[in-house]
Amino acid sequence: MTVSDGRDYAAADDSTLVLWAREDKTAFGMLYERYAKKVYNYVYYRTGNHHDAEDLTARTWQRAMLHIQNYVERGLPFQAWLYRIAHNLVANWHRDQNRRKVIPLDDFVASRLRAEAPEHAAEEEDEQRRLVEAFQRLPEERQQLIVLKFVDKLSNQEIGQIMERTEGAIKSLYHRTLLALREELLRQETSDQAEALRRAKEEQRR
Amino acid sequence: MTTHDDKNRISSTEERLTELLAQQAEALAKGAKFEADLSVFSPVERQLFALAASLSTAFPPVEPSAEFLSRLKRELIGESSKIPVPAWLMRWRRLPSGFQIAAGLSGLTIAAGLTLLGVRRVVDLRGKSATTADADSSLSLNPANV
Repeated sequence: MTVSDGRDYAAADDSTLVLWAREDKTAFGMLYERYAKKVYNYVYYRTGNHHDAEDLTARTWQRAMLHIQNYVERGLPFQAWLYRIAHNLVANWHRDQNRRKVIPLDDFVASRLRAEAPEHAAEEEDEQRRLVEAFQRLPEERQQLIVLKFVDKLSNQEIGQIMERTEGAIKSLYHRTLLALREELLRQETSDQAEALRRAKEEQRR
Repeated sequence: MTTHDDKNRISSTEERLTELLAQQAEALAKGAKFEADLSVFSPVERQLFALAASLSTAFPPVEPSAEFLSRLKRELIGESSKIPVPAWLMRWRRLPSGFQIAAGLSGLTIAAGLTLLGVRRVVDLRGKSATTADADSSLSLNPANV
């Protein structure tokens, strides 16, 4: 039921829901329905595992609920505010744990490719694995941009609000990110070739 | 030597590339078709468009478990949220079931061990006090006890 006390929760925009949510838990529940999966996806690709994604997603929402009374829109939409909370928690998580992001590719990409195109699966799987590995070596800010753009499918304007930059700055950051990613892939390819050559020489010696 | 005109041309090509890459990314995110004349760009620059297309499929959306989503919603807005749930309990609930079972078993083992130690200590103390009472009574100067 999305209508109660004359309030049409499903039709209400985020700003209205935020106002209601200060004393109405159903309104907060509607915001949760809208953004829970997006926040989860963002956190998942930034931490690389479901357990921490659940933990940080829960903490993001708990924090949002705790501070929604103090949240004033002033040019920062609810979505951007929520992502900033998630981003801060992810950044703290990386700082505390000092971990590198390890994305369990086999869990999703590989199985999806096998199911979609079994004949090309191995080749594509390898290509995507390289791409994700190169992504993991990018600086945090660039990883954040890629996740917001390609996982959460946000526009440059929305990303700008989250990352506190202009739309133009996001566009050039994206351009530089693609160049850096290409460099990473080339570096990886060169190192793979050198490794293959070294192995071949070792084989010959035997 | 690069002339002023060359610099301008490079800068405008770069700006055009940045703009087109942004347009392509928006189209990829929306699942829309992207068409542009890329012939003005070098092969290396054109590779960036292919790279962006690969990126758009490299991160498929993941689905959080329905159980997690509904439990978190209950914690946030459900009836139970009127009574604040301690943070440690919420973290415990989110642990994988294997961890919960192992931690539960360890807790039970420790509790059982402590109980056994306690029982043994009580039994020992009672035994000692009985022995002391016997010894005391044998040392009594009361002729009735002798």
